[in-house]
Amino acid sequence: MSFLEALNGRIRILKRTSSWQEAVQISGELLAADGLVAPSYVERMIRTCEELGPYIAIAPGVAIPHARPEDGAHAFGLSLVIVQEGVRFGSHNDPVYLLIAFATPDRSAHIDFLRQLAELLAHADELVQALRRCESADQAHGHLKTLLERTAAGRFSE
Amino acid sequence: MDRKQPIRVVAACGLGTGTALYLKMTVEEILKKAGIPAVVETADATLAPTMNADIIVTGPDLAEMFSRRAKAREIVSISNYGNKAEIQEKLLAAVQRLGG
Repeated sequence: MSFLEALNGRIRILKRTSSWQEAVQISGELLAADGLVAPSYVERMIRTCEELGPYIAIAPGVAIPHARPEDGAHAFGLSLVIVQEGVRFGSHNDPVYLLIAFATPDRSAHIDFLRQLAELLAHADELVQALRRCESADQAHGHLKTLLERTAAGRFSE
Repeated sequence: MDRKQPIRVVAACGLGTGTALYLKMTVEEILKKAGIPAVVETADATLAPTMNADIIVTGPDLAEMFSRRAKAREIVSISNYGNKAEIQEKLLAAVQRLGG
């Protein structure tokens, strides 16, 4: 399943959020609204960060909220929350502008996603700058499509 | 160090399912390219420090937590997972220290 198929239109653009918890909550609710995860999964996404620190902020401006398969993940899928003004996680990768949340029902369904994510994050700055300027989900989808195509073609920085 | 013995690397994250798996793929690729035999596993934050690994690769938040109690001989702390050059440089430096 490709990145955009897995995302399936679950994109939310926010000007700001009051806290990183709120941003993660919204990213999780997008997954829950489509039945990909149980509400317990969303709670667990937040609690994991509270307990273990903001390690999900894995590149400058980008965080990947998630929980364990057994925390209530029914199917594989992604959501994207764009916080235009950024939100602080207490991480060296603050401020975070993009939250790419995922749910995976087992420990391997998301491997292709992680591979595509690695390609995207190799150009995290361009990704962040392009997406945080988007004003609509359609526009963000279009940008993401272009970036993914360029990455796949190995000509991202042209 | 006897290089016939593969080095044991643990890619660790909070839950062992997301970033750890992501790191594992990158670490395997780097070590393979460098011709360094290695076994790379994933682990969560509870398991990782208890493992008899040569190297733990993880983010700065967990690296700090592990530094006090991990069994592994080297802890490699990666701040930008998108920066393959950072991962390669820090990882290969740790491999070198193991051999020294």
